[in-house]
Amino acid sequence: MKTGVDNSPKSLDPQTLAKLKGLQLRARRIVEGFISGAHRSPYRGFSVEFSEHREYAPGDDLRYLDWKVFGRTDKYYLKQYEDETNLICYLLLDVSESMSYRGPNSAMSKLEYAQCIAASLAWLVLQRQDAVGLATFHWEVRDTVSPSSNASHLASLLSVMENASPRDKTSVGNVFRELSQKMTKRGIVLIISDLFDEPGSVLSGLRHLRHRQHDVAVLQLLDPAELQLPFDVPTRFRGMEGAADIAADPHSIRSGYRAEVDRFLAQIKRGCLDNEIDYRLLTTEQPLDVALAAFLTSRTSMTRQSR
Amino acid sequence: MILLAVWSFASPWMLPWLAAVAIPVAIHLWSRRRYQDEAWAATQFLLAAIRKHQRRLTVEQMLLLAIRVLVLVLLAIALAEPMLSGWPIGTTTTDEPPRFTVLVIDTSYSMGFQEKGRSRFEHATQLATDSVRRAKPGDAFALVTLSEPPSVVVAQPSANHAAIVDEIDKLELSHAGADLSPTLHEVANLLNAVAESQSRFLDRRVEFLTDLGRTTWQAATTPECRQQLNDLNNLATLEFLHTGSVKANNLAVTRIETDGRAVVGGEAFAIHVEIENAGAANENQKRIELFVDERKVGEKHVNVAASARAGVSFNQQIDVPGDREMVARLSSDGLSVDDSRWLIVPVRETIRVLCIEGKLNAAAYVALALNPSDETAMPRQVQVVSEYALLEKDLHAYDCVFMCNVARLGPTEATVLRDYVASGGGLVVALGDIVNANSYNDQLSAADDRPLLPLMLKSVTTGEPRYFVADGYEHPLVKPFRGHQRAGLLTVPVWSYWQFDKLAEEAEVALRFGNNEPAIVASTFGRGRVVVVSTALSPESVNTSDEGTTPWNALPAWPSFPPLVHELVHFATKGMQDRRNIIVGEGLASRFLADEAEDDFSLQCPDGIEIRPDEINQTGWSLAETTQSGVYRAAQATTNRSERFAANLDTKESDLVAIDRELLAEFASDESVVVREASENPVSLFRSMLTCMIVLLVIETVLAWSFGRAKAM
Repeated sequence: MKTGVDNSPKSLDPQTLAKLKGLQLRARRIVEGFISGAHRSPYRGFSVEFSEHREYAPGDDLRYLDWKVFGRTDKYYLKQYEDETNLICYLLLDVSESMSYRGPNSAMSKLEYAQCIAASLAWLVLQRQDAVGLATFHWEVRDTVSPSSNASHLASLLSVMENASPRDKTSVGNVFRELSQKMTKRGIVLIISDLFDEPGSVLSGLRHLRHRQHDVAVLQLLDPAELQLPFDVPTRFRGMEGAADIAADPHSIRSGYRAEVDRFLAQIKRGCLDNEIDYRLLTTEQPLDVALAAFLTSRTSMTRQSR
Repeated sequence: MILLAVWSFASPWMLPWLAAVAIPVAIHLWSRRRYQDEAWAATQFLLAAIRKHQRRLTVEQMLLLAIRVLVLVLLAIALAEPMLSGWPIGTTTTDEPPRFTVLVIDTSYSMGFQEKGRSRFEHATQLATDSVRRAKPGDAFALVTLSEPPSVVVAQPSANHAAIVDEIDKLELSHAGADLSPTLHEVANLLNAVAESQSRFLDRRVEFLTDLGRTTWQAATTPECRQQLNDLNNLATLEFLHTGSVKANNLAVTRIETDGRAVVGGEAFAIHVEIENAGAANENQKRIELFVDERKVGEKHVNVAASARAGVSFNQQIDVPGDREMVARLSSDGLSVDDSRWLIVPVRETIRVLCIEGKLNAAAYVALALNPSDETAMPRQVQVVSEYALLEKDLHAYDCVFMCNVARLGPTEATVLRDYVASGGGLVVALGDIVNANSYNDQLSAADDRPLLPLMLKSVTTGEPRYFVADGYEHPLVKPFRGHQRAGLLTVPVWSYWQFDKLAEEAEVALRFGNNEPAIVASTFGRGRVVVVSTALSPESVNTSDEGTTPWNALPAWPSFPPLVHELVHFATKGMQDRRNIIVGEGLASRFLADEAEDDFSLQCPDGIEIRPDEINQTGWSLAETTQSGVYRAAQATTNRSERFAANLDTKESDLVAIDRELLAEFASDESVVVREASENPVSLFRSMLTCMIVLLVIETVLAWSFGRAKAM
């Protein structure tokens, strides 16, 4: 589907989007730029919509044998169809104070970026008539919106997202444990957070979600400044989420800081892989449609592989 | 031996720049306070990084700060020109009993040798000053100079360190050598007095700060000095601090003189200059210049082999009579004081000779030889008088007195002659047939102190003709005859002559007979010269025998007679010039201004400062001791008369070679005698400091880059 809107990557970079007011407008711009018929359901099943042929193997259901092909070629091929699913997507959005950080060269705060990503995903899911729910959290679950596939459901999702002013500290482990209790129906759980918590606690929470048979995907979102510590002059870092202020010379601690961050990220990533959790690191400088496309493409390939 | 380096600074006023080290410290502190604010979410990583790397960061920062501070410290110290000057002397700690130290500083002129931008004397005084400044309160010092004669500057033990330093600062280098034995005597007196009267000074030391020049210190090997040093060692700990270097080359002008004759206006004469190389290396093409009355009149180049002497001669002719100031100057070297030597040459209009004859016509031939035409305008004016006129004449009006065959001399006449010669006059005593040996021996040869004549008359010998032997014409008196054998000096037959007895040590035999008996004997007396001719200078002296009368010799008829008489006068009158040229330390005296008013008189030293003579009265003036090399000027303002005197160094001190330290160590059998090198050359650390500073700057740059790179990674 092609729209009249300029959907080049440039137009979807965070600087451009930041000029747009309203989450809905931003999400629509992202989705419109992104969707051009490329989207497909990650699930295949018994549907009317033909997907592809596959060579017959003993044990396959003969109902799906393509007799026409057999008549022409004397070879057995099975028809495969796109699955019509009743997907439930749970969006878990971190609205703790740390998400409000916006680096000196960033157009959006992490929360703004996360809101855009969440809104876009919600839009995409709803467009496919799948159900999408939302939970915002900091040290506890703050707001929840029950899953629904109703198109009008988007407004309430965006409203919750927009009204989620960042505050309090993160306590991901507890929140995930709590939510895993609430999300009884199996679905896709999409977590958008900086995960600034103890890695052990984070991974423990994620394991709870996996334990509930959810398909969990983590979009860890960081500001580029949080990765690089790009400051040149001695700086007093005012701690968010109630942390103490720290005065330091960024020059002298940069390498140590980066090592710590890398270690943390590696730990999270390793934990995710071990628990078959789809993990992706995003930074707020990345164009949103590119980030979204890369995420969904990797999801698609992962889903196919899993089949 | 504990080697402790001493720092001294050539430019200590640069040291306040050390305060600049506050700059990097201040920048460091200030930069720590200058923060920008930044809200931050990922504090957990910051904390972890700081916790892990804090120690390393602190070390890095402190290391860089220390290097920066050190760079500034080195720069400030380098600007102050630090010198590594040897070992501290006389250092004490507060828990030791009070110490009495006698500082003996060598002020002989060899200490003026410049090494590495400062003289040995400056080095020695610096070390002495350092020693005093390091002393603890209650330590006392005395100060003595090792000089000739020694000077006790601070005799009583003084604990006023500032006053001692002040006295050290006032010390001046002398223009003379040093006399070890009297100096040791003075030091022993000081120590004895302190040992008797001030028992609290149990720790007594003597610090010799000297270049250990062998001219002075060779005396330490004599039994007398050895005993003195041993005595001193019983009273105190001795330390010898060698402030000179082992290798020191030096050239000195050791002699400047005319060719032995009194200079008469219009007559050519030669100036002989001698240069000595006291070093161990040959010196080639060294320039020597001659100035007359501060006007350069000649320049020559000379090669002087190591430890040898070389001479150059300049021919001069001065037409206008008067005092002429000549100076020979070498191109300057490390010791400049001995690179110049002065000579005052009184250029005379004529030479006045008084001939005293004891026998009629005994001086006729001498007078004829000196002034053949009997004209007053001749270069030599001769007056002949009988022996009775000796007391009537003022001998000081004459340059030379000829005594020809004078029979007897009374005590008064002997005194007159003695005074005359002592003040620089020339006396030629030509004997003859009427001479009374006893009278001569009693009056002229048997004085209590030193006889005027350097010999005793024994008896007249007569017989076969004897002939003169010149021994290679080495003596200045007969030197002009060399190469002029036809003049006949060696062919003169001498039948009669006086035999001499008891020749004094200082007597020089200028001419002798073939049987080795002296014919002409020369010596000095006071500032003048005496020449004794053993035979007669006239044919009037005869030997009467049964065979007839024969003259003592054929000399007056021989062609060598006139030149011989002239040379006798030249040689005898040289004392008039010698009177004006002395060695530093000797006194000055003149009758020149005897009857002038005292107020008009001035005596100016070589450095331009006017001084009072020690004695000035109707008979003349005198200065007991000269202290500087150069020209002393005496002047009378009202009469516009002046007289100049040249005082020159006794150049034995120009030998800069130090004695073998083993000679001192030999008697230093116990630990209370130490011989140490103060540092042959005070080492300037300027370049070392700058090198260190540059190295540190490079290290700082590399470290800062390395640390920055590590942080950026």
